[in-house]
Amino acid sequence: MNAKDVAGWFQRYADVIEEKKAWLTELDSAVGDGDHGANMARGWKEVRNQLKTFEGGLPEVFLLVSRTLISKVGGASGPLYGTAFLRMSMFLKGKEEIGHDDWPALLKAASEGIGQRGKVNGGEKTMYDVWAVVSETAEKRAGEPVRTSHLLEWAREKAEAIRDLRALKGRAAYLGDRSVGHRDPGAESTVLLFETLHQTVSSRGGNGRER
Amino acid sequence: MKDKVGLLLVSHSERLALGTHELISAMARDVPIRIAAGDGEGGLGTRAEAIEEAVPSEWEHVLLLFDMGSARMNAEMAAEMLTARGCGVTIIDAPFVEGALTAAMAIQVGKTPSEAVKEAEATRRSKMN
Repeated sequence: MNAKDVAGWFQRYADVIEEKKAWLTELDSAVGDGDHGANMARGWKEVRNQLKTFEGGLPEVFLLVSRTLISKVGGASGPLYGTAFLRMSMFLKGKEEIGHDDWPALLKAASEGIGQRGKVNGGEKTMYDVWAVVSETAEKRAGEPVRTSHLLEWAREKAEAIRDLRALKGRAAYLGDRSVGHRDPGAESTVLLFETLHQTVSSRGGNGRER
Repeated sequence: MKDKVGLLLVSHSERLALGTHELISAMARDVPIRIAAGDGEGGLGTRAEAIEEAVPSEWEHVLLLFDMGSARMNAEMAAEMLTARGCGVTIIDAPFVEGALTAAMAIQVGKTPSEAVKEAEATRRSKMN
């Protein structure tokens, strides 16, 4: 993926977030303060605006998203996603393409950033659980190409699995046992990020590298 | 010395921040206090950029109090930005109102920022004393 593909991915994600805004807010209303959909939509709408005139390279696309999310998205998702994209931008410094081999380290950089910012280690029922499993599973497959279909599959499975956990971080933690069974809004918006990544790569077509 | 140390109240709610400001400045009259509160569109929330921008350039050290949840994360991001521009930052781990009042009074009576932080953080255990 080059800078243009990544910009296409982020535009697609911005569209999906707008579409799913009400659903994300509904999820967040059940366990938090009900602002995840609106916050994300506000931030990604601005990302889409900025991308219209953007002409930089690969690390700069990630940096643009990071800066925009940090300044526009309130709540926890601004700093968490902002840190993830910032770390990815740092990892991609000097690169023009993301190759199959780059995914494990790229995802690790993002996942560690989220863990540090959110002060989580896993199992707290947050978006970090999804990022961590995707990053760790990709790393374990060293040597084998990591396809975006795999990333999506691992993300979906984890987001589903943590429904049964009790939330230990964020507003949902105030609910205690009543958080069990609910979907985590941040985990779900993370799944959508991998879903749109896979759609972007699949729809590119022609080169047969990813299906 | 006094005007180079300031207090920053970071809250999801502008009304909570303004009310706390009112309460504190009635006692700590000479301590500069600023607020960074709300999502910038009239709703609840905190934003790292707004927190950073709320600190005047003449402050050498800012003592920051936050209300809850993601305010901590945004405060930490802002702290990194402030450190980068040469301003010292201490995020105080204390109840919002009591911690802010205690820190402000310590600065008011001429104590150092680190003494103010220590006293403010002691309010975690002393509310009913």
